[in-house]
Amino acid sequence: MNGQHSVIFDDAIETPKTKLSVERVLPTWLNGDLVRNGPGLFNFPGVKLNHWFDGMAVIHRFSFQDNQVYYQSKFLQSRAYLSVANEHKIAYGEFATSPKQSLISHIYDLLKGVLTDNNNVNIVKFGRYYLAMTETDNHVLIDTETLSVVKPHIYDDKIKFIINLAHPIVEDDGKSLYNLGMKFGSRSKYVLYQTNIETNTRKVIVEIPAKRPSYIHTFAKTENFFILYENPLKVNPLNMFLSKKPFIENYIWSDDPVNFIIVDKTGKIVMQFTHEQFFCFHVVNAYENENRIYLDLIVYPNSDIIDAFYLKPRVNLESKNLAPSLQRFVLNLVDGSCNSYKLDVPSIEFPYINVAYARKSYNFIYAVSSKNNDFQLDTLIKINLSNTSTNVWQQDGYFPGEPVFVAKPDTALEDEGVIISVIADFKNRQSFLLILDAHSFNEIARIKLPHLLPLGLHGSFY
Amino acid sequence: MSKKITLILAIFALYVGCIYADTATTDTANLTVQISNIRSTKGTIRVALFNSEKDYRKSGGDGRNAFKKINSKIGDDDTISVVFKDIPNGTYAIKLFQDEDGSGAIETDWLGRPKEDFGFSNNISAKSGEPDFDQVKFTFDQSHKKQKITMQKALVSR
Repeated sequence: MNGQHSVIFDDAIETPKTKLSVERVLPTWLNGDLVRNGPGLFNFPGVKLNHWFDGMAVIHRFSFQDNQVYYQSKFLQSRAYLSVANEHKIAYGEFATSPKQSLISHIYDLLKGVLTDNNNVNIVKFGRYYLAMTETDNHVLIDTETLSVVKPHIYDDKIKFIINLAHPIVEDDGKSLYNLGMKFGSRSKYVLYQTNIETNTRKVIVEIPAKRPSYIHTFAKTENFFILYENPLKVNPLNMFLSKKPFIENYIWSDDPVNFIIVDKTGKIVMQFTHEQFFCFHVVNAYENENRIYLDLIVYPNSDIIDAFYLKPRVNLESKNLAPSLQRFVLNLVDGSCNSYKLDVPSIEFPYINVAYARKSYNFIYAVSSKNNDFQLDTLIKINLSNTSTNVWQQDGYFPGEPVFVAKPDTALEDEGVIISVIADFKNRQSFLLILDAHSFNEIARIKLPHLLPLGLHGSFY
Repeated sequence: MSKKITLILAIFALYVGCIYADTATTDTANLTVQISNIRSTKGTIRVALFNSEKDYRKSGGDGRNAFKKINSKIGDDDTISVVFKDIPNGTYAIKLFQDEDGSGAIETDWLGRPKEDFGFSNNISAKSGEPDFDQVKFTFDQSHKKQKITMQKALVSR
């Protein structure tokens, strides 16, 4: 890795704890750590990574305390990273890049779960650690001070998945963590489970057979139900074993509709709904009201968006199929109907809400949006669902990362707080933290970072 | 007496300067960069020449920190040549791009992928990231005075 690059994907620069210059007055209550994860290293001698999601993980932390802000970042010292950095070879299958290996060793790796531990998608607080995650069952625990890997997160149980999502649903101040794993084989299945942090075990809520498992990035939960949505992008597990194609290239866009599976807290499948095709990465929120489930998803017409994220895109980026839209699904638990409608708002991705309103009726979504309502995510947006009005922050040449909402303590208002987003200015090789008033969407402060940061994916404030 | 010493010193300095200038002349030459596969006549070709790895790495999208820069017009031919004059012998690297919109810096999409054609010395292909300095560096001396660079297509369309 060579630090700063001027074209294509920029490599992150590992940064010791550094005090940032804060020239404006921040809210006095804004104390805590914004921790973010994402692909941040792409350039290794002799190694060709194909896709944005293949980049090696970099953990970033922005610490706010009494109007002072510190930044630090750490390359996640995974086995996958150490192999590309030290041996200049890809040792594990990444999202869209395969290692050079024989078919036998490929099958052996899948059977034994020897999959990538390049946990570059998400990071959440987990007990005394952070838990860094990608979509394999090789999540790692991170020291909250040094950001170093403490150890692989191995549960004291005998459950083993090929896939384990990177977007768990966290409840009870981090005490309860729900997630979805997948087992591939002659009897492939989705496994919905709850983690007990104290015992470090997983309790299976339900196992759902899946002949052709879907690519699923997130799932939803209301107060009483879990909602899985099966994207039409599906894999024949046998092909996954017999093909040495990169992970995601084993998935094929099928003719199947989207299948919603509603599971109650006891693990009983209470209902299934089908809906015309779409592809979804991210759930915004879901809640119940009068025997209906309201589920807000960010949807694409198909899975072309995955092809758009190749370093050399495999799809025309002008395609309308790449513009994400916000869609509300109303699942009627009495008559079994499923209705949906697109909300009349611009394209959005990387949604964030006030987490106190997760699983509840809510009004506000914060997200990255597009000035031209297309694939180029260059705007921050606040959407008021009650009237679909919007507030935006946009400046040419600046590209925002996921906007994280931090609520003012003890507030009764859903949008009283701040939005924090890392803004990339590729032309000037510079990033800054942008702090917005979440209510007015007015700028509170810009805090210059030491250098350009890769956009990254997801994070949280603790 | 002091005038005499001053005069002697001045002559000596002039002599040393002449020697130095002569040496400099023999160790410098013109570097010609031939750039081919220019797909359109829009804008200009901005060529940045670097003489250190550090400057190459920190050059950003506008070629800042470059040892020398040239901004060249594009003619009807799909090939142009630019000349860096009086370049000392040494190790160099080149990166260039077609500045279609005249912004002075390479345009990227929201993920940082280039939206304008670009190229590197030694014709190194940038498949998954900007090449390392070691890949694009070349020796410039009396017997290596030309670089041929083929423009690479922007990764994403404008």
